[in-house]
Amino acid sequence: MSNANNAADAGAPLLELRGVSKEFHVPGHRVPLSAVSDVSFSVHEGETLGLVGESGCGKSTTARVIIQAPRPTRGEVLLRGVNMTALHGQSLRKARREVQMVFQDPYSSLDPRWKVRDLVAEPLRVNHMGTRTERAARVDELLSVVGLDPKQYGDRKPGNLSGGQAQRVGIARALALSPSLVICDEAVSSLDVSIRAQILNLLEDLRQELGLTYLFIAHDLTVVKHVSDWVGVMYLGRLCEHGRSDVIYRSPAHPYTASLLAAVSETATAPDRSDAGEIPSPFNPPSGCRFRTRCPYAQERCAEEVPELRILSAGHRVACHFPLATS
Amino acid sequence: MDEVVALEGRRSGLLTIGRPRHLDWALWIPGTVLVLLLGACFLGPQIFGVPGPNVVNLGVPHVGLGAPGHLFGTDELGRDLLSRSLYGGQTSFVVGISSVAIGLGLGGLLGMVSGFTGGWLDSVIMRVLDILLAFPSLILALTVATYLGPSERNVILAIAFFTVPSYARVARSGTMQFKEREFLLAGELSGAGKTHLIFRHVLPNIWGRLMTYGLLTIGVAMIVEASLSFLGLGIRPPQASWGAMIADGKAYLTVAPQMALVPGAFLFVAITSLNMLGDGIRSRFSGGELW
Amino acid sequence: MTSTEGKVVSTVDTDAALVLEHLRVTFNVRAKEVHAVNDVSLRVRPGKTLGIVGESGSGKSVTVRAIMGLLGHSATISGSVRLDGEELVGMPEDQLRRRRGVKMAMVFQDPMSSLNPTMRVGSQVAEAVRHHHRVGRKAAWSTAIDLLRSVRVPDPERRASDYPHQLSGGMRQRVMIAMALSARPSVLFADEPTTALDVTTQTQILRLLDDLKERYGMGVVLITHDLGIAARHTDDLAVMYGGRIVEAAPTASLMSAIRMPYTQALMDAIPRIDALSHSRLASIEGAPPDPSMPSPGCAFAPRCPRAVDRCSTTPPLTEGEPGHRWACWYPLGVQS
Repeated sequence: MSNANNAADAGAPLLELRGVSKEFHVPGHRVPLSAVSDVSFSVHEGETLGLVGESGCGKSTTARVIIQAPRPTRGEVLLRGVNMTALHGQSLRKARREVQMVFQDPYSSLDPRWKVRDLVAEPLRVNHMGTRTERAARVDELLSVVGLDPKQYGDRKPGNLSGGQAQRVGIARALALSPSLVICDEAVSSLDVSIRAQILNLLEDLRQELGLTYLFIAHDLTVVKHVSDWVGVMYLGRLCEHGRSDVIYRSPAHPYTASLLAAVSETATAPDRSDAGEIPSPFNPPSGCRFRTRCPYAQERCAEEVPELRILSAGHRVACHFPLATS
Repeated sequence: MDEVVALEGRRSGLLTIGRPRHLDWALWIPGTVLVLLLGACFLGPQIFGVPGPNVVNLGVPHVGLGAPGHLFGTDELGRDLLSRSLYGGQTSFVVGISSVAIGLGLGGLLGMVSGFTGGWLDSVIMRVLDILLAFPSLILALTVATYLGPSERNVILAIAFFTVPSYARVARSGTMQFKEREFLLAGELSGAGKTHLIFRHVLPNIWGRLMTYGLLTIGVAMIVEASLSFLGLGIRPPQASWGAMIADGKAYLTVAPQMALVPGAFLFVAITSLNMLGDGIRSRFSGGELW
Repeated sequence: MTSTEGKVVSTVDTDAALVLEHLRVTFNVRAKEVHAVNDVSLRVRPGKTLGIVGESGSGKSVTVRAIMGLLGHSATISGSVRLDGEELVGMPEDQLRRRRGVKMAMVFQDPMSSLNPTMRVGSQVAEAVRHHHRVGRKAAWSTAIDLLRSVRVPDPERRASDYPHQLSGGMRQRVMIAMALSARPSVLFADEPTTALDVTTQTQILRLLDDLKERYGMGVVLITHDLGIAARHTDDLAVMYGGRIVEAAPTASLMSAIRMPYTQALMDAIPRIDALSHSRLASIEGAPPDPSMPSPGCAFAPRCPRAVDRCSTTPPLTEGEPGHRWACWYPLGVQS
């Protein structure tokens, strides 16, 4: 917040990841688990980056690493140019206020013993913002913003809310500190179809009204299509393709992106050739390109050389030795 | 959540059935017995107008049950057993409840901090408590009581001391379970400190199981107090406690069995009710899942 | 197993494998009756897939659990459930248990919680085989391998000696399907079998089910919240809302002419791959009804943009067109 004038700099990203890696030491395994490997991307103010991939691709770990819980093993996370990885204690806590999260399971992310009103007020209270009456007014305002009547829902506990209502409370909470960046980690994945549409529309409205920047993490490419300006595709801890969403959906350059799109498009007639392709163990990822074991176009070079994320065209980067022809 | 909505809930995949809202028998029978017993012990002596617990009347030693003026008989010094049992109950309850309160507070705090912080602090705290837990609890309490000397306060401390590790275990396992829940991360993200997270989020969520465990261990604490007193390391004469009275009575079991049996019966009723109440509450806390 | 395939297929006929008539499920909650499933009538044809689509609280999972006899004593079931012509409602528990797993089997959303983590998957499949057929250990193991092969587990001889945690979610779901197939059931229930899986795996599992139902002449009931999936992988379709069927028809005719506004709204609420960035979705306001607090009339009326006064009386499920049933006073595209 103190760097508000920096934000005015056109071109300076709100969030930037530089070569971020995260390894976990898992008991019983000699080698560490490589959850996120050398990921770099940036998100500009007011834009939405959709991060997609299958389970275990590292997209959720990437989100956690951004908020420094846990910290990355290597690399830097810059928020408005400030290196979060170098911050500790009070200054980290302050910097984190700018980044809030909306989680997949609203029931898990709300303390079941707290009332809705107190849940939304908590971020304000722990940061000693406003007086009790000011906070109460702000809570009412936040609840109204997410479409919940404060009188009707304020005194309920999460257990007495439907999934969609609980997720709205989660969103209200995330907005309490007026963050610049909101990370939605599979925020609509566990909701019913009709409720999912409501929440997606709400997130979209909030983005426009409050000028929010989203990092939208999802496994569902169709959902991401609706919300994103940019898309990053992750596979086994690596970013394999990144670019403007219209470009990527129209002409994916990475074979993995193409297979994901084929799986969800209605006219999928692609042969079931990835049937044999199990996702390899993240403890022992394939040499070279991590996707090569499931890639229909893999060649010798793919096993020998790690493909760098290189610029294919303006606003389109791909990590593949033999990218698909783009139209 | 409403149970039928939960029927379809994709979150848990579990079918949950409604828990009865009305108080069930398993709770209110032992609850009523306990309240009556507590009332009798703490208010009874005034209401019933029984003689003082230490009033010696050498003229009427070993009077049996039902004697005029001494409903439950007297001991070898002619002291009224009803009066002594009620006053002894005060001691037993005070020892039981306060030792549990101290043990629970200390153990709960250690367990929560240990479980929440993790890392080396967790390892150190839990290893130390493991060592304590490895000692037979009564021997441990005996050692502490011997070291501190017999008195009501020291009995309380001794019992509290040996129960700390088990409370810490309960608190820690509960904390670990909630640590996985995202509301703690959400709290951390909103800028809350460790103290806030532990006391406002973790504690309220594990409170129920701590209290249940506490209720169950009040009975244990009362038995330990009885055992210590029985061994002469607990409450000092002439102060009455159920355990101390049973200890006194053992020498006269053939002549005056009521000396041990009357306080024994009180102790039995108190502990049975406490255990039933604890079990009842526990099954309510953990119940409700069909499969 | 492969040698008998032809014979199994030959049993396919026009008779339904499973017929539900006026099925009702009532729960007694806090001395209050909650009607979770109301008057559901459905047919499952052998070798075909019936999709039951609905949101939370629609009663789709309760319906299936009632058929499987998995609801326990809190539920009262009335109506008729006939499996291969045999009435299941009112059948004594021990007889019902014999039907369950033999003539009907179920695959759940989360295969990990249904598998024993301490047993090799091959042994678990072999155990299921021995449970249904009087065969020796060795024969059961080789049948298990065959079953794993038939659900397209690659390299089944080697995979059979893996433990569940060594397999991916998709592979585990295949193992669950193999176990369900061990008794060669007449009907296989699949309750959100792909919801927990990744997109690429989802398609594979659904295609596998498509394939198996034809190969074994088995009726499949696919329970899903995703109308898009149901449209692609079912032969018949029933949409449930508030414990009732609100629209049912062969999938092709239903998708070509949706009559019930709820079905249409559900269809419109699905995000589309060809959508523009930041485009709004057609959303249904409000939330699905709470079965414990029923309101009179059409359950969808409070959320329906077309609702009028008449909708406060419950519309019956009528066959408006041959094979196409709907429960709506003012169906889409029909002159009233």
